[in-house]
Amino acid sequence: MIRQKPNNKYSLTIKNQLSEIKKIVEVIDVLSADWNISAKMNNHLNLVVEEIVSNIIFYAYSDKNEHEIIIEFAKQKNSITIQITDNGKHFDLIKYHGNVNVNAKVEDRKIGGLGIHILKKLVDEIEYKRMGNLNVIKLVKCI
Amino acid sequence: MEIVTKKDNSFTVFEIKGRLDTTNYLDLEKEFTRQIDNGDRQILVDCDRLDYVSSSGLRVFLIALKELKKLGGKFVMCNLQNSIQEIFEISGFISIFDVYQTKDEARKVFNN
Repeated sequence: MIRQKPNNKYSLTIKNQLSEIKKIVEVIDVLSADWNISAKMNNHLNLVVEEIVSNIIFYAYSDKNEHEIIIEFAKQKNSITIQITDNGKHFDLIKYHGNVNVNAKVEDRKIGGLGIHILKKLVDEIEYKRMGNLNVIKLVKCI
Repeated sequence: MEIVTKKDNSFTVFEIKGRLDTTNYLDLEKEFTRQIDNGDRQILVDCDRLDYVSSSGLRVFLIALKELKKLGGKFVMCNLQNSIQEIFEISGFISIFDVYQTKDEARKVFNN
């Protein structure tokens, strides 16, 4: 579901299935056109949201049930704020380091763990809150 | 994403087009595995029309590189768009992969 709200905001609720990622791509295309966002920024927004959402889908739920993930975008004068909310297990990505060594030789490079590393490099601010049974991640990206 | 594979002398060219992400990375992983299992040891990935890669896609490139290195083969990439180049730099992939600006430069790496 895509909902355009007043005051430069978009929100989208998806199910915890990888096929839902294409809905995120569509919303980012719509808001990029609306907010006159560059192709580079569009690419960064896609990466940031995909890395978090795929992480939630892969690791947040111990049951096989359907869950909702809420993604909200808001534009301020010089930045875009993205808030992602899920009801999966407690996971503070700020404290997660994943041991990615970007200087390691190919033989020593571990497969995986790169998503959160990339995400942290692409945003300007990250905030994590556990609110009841919800993980709420807020990201700020300067334009 | 669309994957086109072509035999070019002693190496196999993978042209990957569109968007490589968490919804389709396994398709590419299977295609690399299939070609390597068939005996291919020299792979050139042409990224001219690859628009987007997330960490799932990077993971597939790393698996293929490690596998070919172990088997004494070569895994070479060319024509990275700026957005992909940026992700390769952020993740440190730029220093572990053989990346060339053009296909002509890249093909010189292979033994014919």
